[in-house]
Parts: sequence; C-alpha cells; structure tokens
Amino acid sequence: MAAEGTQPRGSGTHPAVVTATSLVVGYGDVQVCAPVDLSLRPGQSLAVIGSNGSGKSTVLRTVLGLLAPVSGRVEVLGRAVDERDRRFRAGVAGVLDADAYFPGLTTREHLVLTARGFGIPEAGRVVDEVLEVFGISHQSDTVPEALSSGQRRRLLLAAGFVRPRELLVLDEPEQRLDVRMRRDLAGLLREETARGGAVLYATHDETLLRETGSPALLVGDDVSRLVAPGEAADLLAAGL
Amino acid sequence: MRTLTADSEEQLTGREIRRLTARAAAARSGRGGVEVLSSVAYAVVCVAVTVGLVVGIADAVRGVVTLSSDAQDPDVVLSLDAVRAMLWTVVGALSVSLAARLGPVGVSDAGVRWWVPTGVDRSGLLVGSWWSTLATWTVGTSVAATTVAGVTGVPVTAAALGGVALVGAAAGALLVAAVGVLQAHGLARAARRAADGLVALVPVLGVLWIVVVGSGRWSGPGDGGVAGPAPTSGLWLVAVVLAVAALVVVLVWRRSLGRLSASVLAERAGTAQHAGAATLSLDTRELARALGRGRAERARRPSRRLRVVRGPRTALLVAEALALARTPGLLLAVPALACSAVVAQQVPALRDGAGLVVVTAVVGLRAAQTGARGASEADVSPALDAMLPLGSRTTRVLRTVFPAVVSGVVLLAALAPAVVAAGAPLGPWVLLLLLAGAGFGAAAVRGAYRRPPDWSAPLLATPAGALPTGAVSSALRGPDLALVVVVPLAVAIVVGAASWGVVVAQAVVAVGAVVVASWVPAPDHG
Repeated sequence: MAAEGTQPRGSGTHPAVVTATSLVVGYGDVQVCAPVDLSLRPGQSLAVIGSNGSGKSTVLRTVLGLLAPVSGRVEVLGRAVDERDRRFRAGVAGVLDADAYFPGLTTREHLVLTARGFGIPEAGRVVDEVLEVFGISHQSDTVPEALSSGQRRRLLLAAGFVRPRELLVLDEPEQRLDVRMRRDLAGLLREETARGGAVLYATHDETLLRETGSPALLVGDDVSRLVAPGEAADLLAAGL
Repeated sequence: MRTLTADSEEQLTGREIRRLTARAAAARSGRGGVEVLSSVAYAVVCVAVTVGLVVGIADAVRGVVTLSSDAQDPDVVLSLDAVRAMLWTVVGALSVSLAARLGPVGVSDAGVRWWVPTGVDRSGLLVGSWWSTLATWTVGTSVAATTVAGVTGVPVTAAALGGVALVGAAAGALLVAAVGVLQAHGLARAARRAADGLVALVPVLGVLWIVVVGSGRWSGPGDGGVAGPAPTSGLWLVAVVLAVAALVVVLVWRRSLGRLSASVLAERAGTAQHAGAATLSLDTRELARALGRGRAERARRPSRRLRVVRGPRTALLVAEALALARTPGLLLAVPALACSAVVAQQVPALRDGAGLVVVTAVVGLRAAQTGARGASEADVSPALDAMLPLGSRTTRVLRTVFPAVVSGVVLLAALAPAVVAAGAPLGPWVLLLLLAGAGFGAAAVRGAYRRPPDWSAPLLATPAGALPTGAVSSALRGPDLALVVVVPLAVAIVVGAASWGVVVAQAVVAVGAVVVASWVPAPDHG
C-alpha cells in the first residue's frame, strides 16, 4: 500500500504533489532501503522515519532530484523529477543539512538574494518577516560564520520559507534547534499544510511528529510501510 | 506567514545573482579599485617570475638533454621526437584528467547550497566559471606544450615555439571543452578514467616500442636519441585545424551549461574546494586526496582474506592489502611507473649518472607513495590505528611493508633491463634495489603520517599568498628521507657496479629510514 500523508479538507481531489512507485533509492546501483511507495497531495504532510542509515535522507534526496533512483519511479508536481527544470525548482523547496555560506554575505543578504532568485516582490520585507519568525532578526547583518550552530540551522530553514513553494522537503529540521523553536517549527509546518502546501520531512523527533500530526513512512532494509500518526510517534519514542 | 508568489519581472538572472554576490562580498571586504589593481599587478609580477623560473629551468634541462643526445647511442631506440610526442600525449591526458576531476565548471559549496536551487538560469550562474576554466586550460596547456618542446630540443625560434604554443592552446581549449560537454551529460568520470588510463598506457607503449624495435635492431632516421628535424612544418596548419575544432566544441560546451545537474555541481564544488585549500597550504598529500575524491565505490564484496587474520599484526597487514586491492588505479600505476623509468632511460642524459639517480629516486618514492594507501588513510582516521592493540611504532613499521614491496618491485622492473644489458651480476643489484625500496617505503610512510600545516601559527607572506610557517618543511617530510635513502644506490649507479659494501650501506640506511619513519613525535599540549 502506498504511504499517504495527512488528509486535510478536500485534498483527495487534487493531483498528487509527490508520487513514488516501487521506488528504490541508493547510490549508483547500491540499494539502501526497501522499495518505497508514497503519495503526497496538496495540504498533506508525511514524515519519513527510520533508524540511522536506514535511507531517510536518501529518499528525500531522490525526491529532490539530487540522486537518481536505482529503480522505480518518482514524480513531483506531475512530472518525472528533474531538478534542472525551472518549474521544478520554482515549486519544490528543499532544506538539507548542507552547512555552506558565502563568507562575504550577511544572513539577510543570503535570504534576500534567495527570494530575488525566485522573483519575490518586496523581497526585503518578506525576508524581515521570516527572520522574525525564525528568531534571528537581530543577527540579520551578521555573517553566518559568526552565528551559533542553532542560529545557522534557523537560517537554513528560513531559506525554505522566503520563496514560493508547493512542496517543502526538510531533512531532520529539528537538528540543533532548541525546544521552543522545534515547537514553532511544528506550527509552521501545520500552517504550511493548512494553506495547501505539501510537506515531506525526515525526523527523529517524537514531539515534532506528534505536533504536526503527520503519518509516517517507516523505511528500513526489509520493508518500507505507512505508519499512522500515533504509532509513528510511539515508534520514535521507543527508539524504533 | 504569507503565501508567496513569484513575479517574473523581479526574477534575477544567474549572471545578476553572481554579480550581486561578488559586489556585496567586495564591499564587505573593503577592497577598492586601488586594492584590486595592486592585486592584479601583484599577480602579473608573480606570473612573470614563475615564467622566468620555468624558462630558466627548461633552458638548463634543454642544454643537458640536447648536449647528451648529440652522440649516437646504439642502445637508444626512442628518438627525442618520440619522447616529445609521448610527453605531449601525457600532458594532454593529464589536462583532461584534471579537468574532469575539477568539473571543469562549477560554483562554490555556498553557490550549490544557495543559488543552484533558486529559479535563476543555471547557464548564467556558471558562465563566469566557464570563462575562467577555458582561459586557464588554454594558457596552461600552451605553456606546458611549449615547455615540453623547449626541453626536448625544438629550436628556440619564434616560429617553432609560437606554433607549438598555438597548438597547445587550441588543444587545451578543445580538450577542456570536450570534458565540459561530457560533464554536462554526467560522463566526466568516464573521461577521467580514460585519461588516467592513457597516462598509464603511454609509458607501457613506449616500452613495447623499445622491445619490438630494439629486438629487430631497427635503426631509422631520427633514432639513437638524436633529435630529428624540428616539428615546425605544418604546425601552423595543425593549430588552425585544432582552433576551429575547439571553437565548435567550446560553443557546444557553452550551450550545455544549463544541463548541469545540482548533484554534479555539488560533487565538483566539494573537490574544487578541497583541492583549492590543499594548494594554498602547499599540502600535496591533501591535494592528492582531494583529486582522488569519488574514486571509491560505495559497496564492496566481503573479502575471504580476512580468514588469514591471526592477530593484530596480520589484521593490519590484511587491511593494508585490502586497501591496496581496492585502489582501482594501482594495477595501472605500478607498471606505468616502471615503464616510465625505462622510457626515461631512452633520453641519453637520463641513462646513467646523476640523471638516472634522479629517475630512480622519483620513481622509487612515487611507487612507495602509491603503495602507502593504508598509512595515508590511517592519518585521516587515527581511529584505524587506535583500534588495534599495537604500539604506534609497530603500526608504522607494519605499514611500511607494502610501500616497500611496491617500490622494490618497481625499481627492479625499472633497472633490471639495464643491469642485464650491462652484464653485471644480478644478485647484488636485486638486493640493493629491494633494500632501496624498503627505504623509499619508509620515506612514504613518514610523509603519509606528517602533520598538516598549522594555520593557527603566524603566517608568512609569500608571492603565492599567506602560508603557515613550516608548510614547506611539512611538504618535504618524506622526500627528505628519500634523499638519504638514495645515496648508496646513487653511488652504485654512478660507479656502475653494486659492490657488497654498497649493499650493506643500503641495508643500514634502509633500517635507519624505517626507524626514523616509525618514530612518533610526542603530542602537542599547548
């Protein structure tokens, strides 16, 4: 059975944002987890859970077009994944754990240029709002190297919110965040689905999972299967 | 948080986002026009000084090579023209290999993280890198081709060297553009493998030529090491043909920039950043690691050799053997090194005396470094050494075994033909070369375990930029020991006989080298 995200009002009538059919992910021809089937529609969120090295990030990277599938099929926004396609990039926001910055650009400049790279009008104002939401507005004129690890994580996450998107893909977004920011992040993800966006995220955080109310795709060596929201959080609490 | 919509009027282009980034960075660094001009002038002076050095060295080498090739030597099969052609081929293959390893085009790590996923056109984002890569390869290959021509006896006339420079420039542009097109289609690795294979194949072909032609006692014009007629005729025509071909491929390359995927750019960014940092630090060991990135496959079959492990010593040796067996280029590198030495001996200046000593030292040390993969990996991950219940000194001694064997085998293959041809007794020479291999193995292990340059210490201002104090001495750690190791062997080569006294001296030096290489400095506590 294909894993499906949460079912908000009327989402069943919309075409899927992400569809994966017998998707085998890995590096080269080396498979890292059991084949994955999933379907995510607008207004839905789906967590990807599993132990370390189970293939969560590999699934996300494949959906983002950063890795080619070993076999099977994955479609995003109704097309085969090709991150070189501008329409793909315009609709899909991915935040992985790549911690790289321009040493000469401030926090705000990183975000303003990102927003302008997507053609956002009044990019400066949008960025100021997002900086406020992520609690780094006081660091807006600071270069990222001078930020703490947690603040840099907030900056990376903020980059996903200063641009238009139909699908938000986050790889363990809770990493390096304090408890309050994790809670705020859960609220942001709920808000994202409420306004019709789709969210696919990998997590080890039971609280984030409970607060977003997402079902989960449990990935592993032998089987990848859909898990109901409560059971998913219990699995995480029990160490899977 | 509001719902965001894009406006195409507000959309930056790739070129604009690149320029805005550079402008903001320049404004923050406080560099004005005067600083930029002085940096440009500084770079011009550095390039001029470097070119002067290269020309001076090339002139000196040329003098030695051409002087010694004046005399006809019946044992020399390859003409200087043939050696030159082989060197040009190797230069071309190396330029392809380097281009494929470094991209050839791309953006920085930050560029991959921040600008590549945006809606800006990828072609505009990459065009700056495209221009600089094209210029670098055009100029670099031209200089390399001219240098090879200069040292191998092409007449120093404007027509000859100008023609070679133009051919080199056009060939460089053509080759890098071809690799660029392959990169856009995700095939740069194939180009790299082919180029690496060609680099290894050229000396092997040279030896085959020597064997086939030498055994037939064929002696044609241009043989005997004497430089043939200068290859100036037709050079200009070749340059024009190559330039036209290069122009076409360069234009195809330019049009293919938009096809480059984020994963290809991310891989390239990692390699380029690693290699750039290693170059700035004069850290050759780190540079080799950077250029070797992405070589290993991710999955391996379990090895049956693990059954022979009976304790920590055999565990370490088996691990070393596995590391070597899983080094894809090793089987090519070892015969290529041995054949390079044989081909080098076709140049009269390198057949004996100091020339042959230099060839022996370079090939012996390089072979040992190739075999010191385990030590090199252990330096990156100290936990590997710490896992086994062995002292650091014992570990390093054991890690000397494989580099010593590889070096010894290569030295034997490189020099045995000359020894046999000279009718000298084989026993002492075999022992001497194996012992020298052990010494070179120790030198390679010493180099593999050297400490990286200390960037927290005061920096030195040099024409190449700021360098940490001790960067040069760190880079020379390993080769310094090889210089000592080669002394007894050098005596035997210069004298033309391996006496038992020299063999004993070589044994003493080899043991001393192993002792020095296995010495573990006390950790710094301050």
